[in-house]
Amino acid sequence: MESPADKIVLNLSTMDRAGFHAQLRSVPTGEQVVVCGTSEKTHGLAAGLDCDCALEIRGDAGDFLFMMGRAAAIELHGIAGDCAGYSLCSGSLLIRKSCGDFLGAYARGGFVGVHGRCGDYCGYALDGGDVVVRSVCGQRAACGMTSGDLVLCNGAGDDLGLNMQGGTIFVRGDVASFAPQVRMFRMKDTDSMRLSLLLARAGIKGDAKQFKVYRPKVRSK
Amino acid sequence: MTNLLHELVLAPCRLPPEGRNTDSLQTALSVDFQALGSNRTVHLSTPWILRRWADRSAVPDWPELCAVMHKFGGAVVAPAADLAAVDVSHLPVRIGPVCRDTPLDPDEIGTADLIEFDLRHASNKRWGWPVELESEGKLFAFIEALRIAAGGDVPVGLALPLNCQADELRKVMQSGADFVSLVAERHDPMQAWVLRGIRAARESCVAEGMPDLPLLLDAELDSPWAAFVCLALGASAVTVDAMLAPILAQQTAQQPVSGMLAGILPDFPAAGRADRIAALLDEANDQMHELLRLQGVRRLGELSPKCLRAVRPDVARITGVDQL
Repeated sequence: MESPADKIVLNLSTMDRAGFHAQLRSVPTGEQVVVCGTSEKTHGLAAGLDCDCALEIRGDAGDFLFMMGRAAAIELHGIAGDCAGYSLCSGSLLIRKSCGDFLGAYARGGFVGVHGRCGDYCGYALDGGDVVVRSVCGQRAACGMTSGDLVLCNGAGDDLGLNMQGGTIFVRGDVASFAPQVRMFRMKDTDSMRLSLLLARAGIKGDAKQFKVYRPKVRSK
Repeated sequence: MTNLLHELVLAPCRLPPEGRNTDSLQTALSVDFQALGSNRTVHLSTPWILRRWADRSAVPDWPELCAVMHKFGGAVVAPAADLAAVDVSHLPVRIGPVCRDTPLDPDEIGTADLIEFDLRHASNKRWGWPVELESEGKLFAFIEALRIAAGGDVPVGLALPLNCQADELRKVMQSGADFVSLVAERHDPMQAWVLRGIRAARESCVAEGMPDLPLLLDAELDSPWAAFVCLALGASAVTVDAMLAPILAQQTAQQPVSGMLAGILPDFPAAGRADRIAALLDEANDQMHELLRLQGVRRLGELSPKCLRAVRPDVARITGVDQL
């Protein structure tokens, strides 16, 4: 881990919550920020953050991490609670450990990557964002998904793609079961290229040929 | 069908401590909202909220209507885009509606004076908990995150049906919401369940240790007396859509003046309707002040069911108000 000497350091354990969030909102563009003192009860961390900055969180985070976020690049060293990247608009969120349910729910844009496990309802109602999970993923991934890409590198649980209307799911490994409206498609060159880019962005090594592509049978316009 | 409002009367007045009559009593109709953990207060001078008519496509003279609501210190439940045509000096307090099962819009949330998260489906208006908020503590975390995303000092409330179960209402109150909107989904004339519902909601607030939690009531209140009854039973602010409906529904105001009159009275129709609404709200304010004075109370928060009396035992039983 780098020394935070040349970075802005915000320690939640030594600040009041309102002041902490106010300082986080006022971070100048292009700055690098180190956040520490957070825990799994720190809900709404970086919610609504709209600043082109790099945020490194050296701890855990609670629910709704980077909710409705824009522009910022966030790296979380600990675990995240439920609904990380909820309604994400742009920017990126990289979780080095595991996260809870509803990862990237309603994300309209941006990128969410998880190196550890992910709970149920991953990519719930995903609406244009990109989500990559390296380890095991729970059931009902991509439920209600309308657009965007969901990459699952270690299989998927039951009901993959339930009520899915659009978008693409890439899965490496076994799928416990998938919804009747979803079927496997042939991997095209464009899919392969897209997948390679997403894996590279998440810092995950992998061969696109090992993945299978799933899409809804009738795609929404 | 019996109108319960006709079976309720004012309770005998309590004399104020400083005088023998209440004519000189200074009364206020204001309602304040405050976000948890913030010192900033969102102030409404009157308890009037425009909700169902808050649609610029339905009301051609919408900017004038907003100006009237601004003048009277009321609030409008409307998306930010609906206020784009309104002069900035005439902007009323905006309650930003946020629907479940849709992605949250940062611009919508970042510009609202109050945020109302509707627990009803946007399409069919059936209510229920979104699957991501069903688990224990998730609603609390969501409201906290929403508040942070909005800047930390914007009150966040939840909208749910007035006839929801007591447990659900309790769950909402324990979620840290800064206000609760109760929507009477069946828009029929004032019925027992509306009066009983708002009374029960206020009692739940008291039981949960939040006696001053603002409760916004969306019901078919077509007169200042109906509004007063609901405010006495526990509401903090009420919708005025039904009161304004007769004026807003007049199609003549939407038709441009033609012929010779077009050059003489180009703005007459719009101005006329806005003026009539202003006059109606002015009269409603006067009546509310008068009712408060008659009860010897200074502000709406001091109203209680004890300010009312039921003329019949069955009405007393239905509304929970003492019998005359």
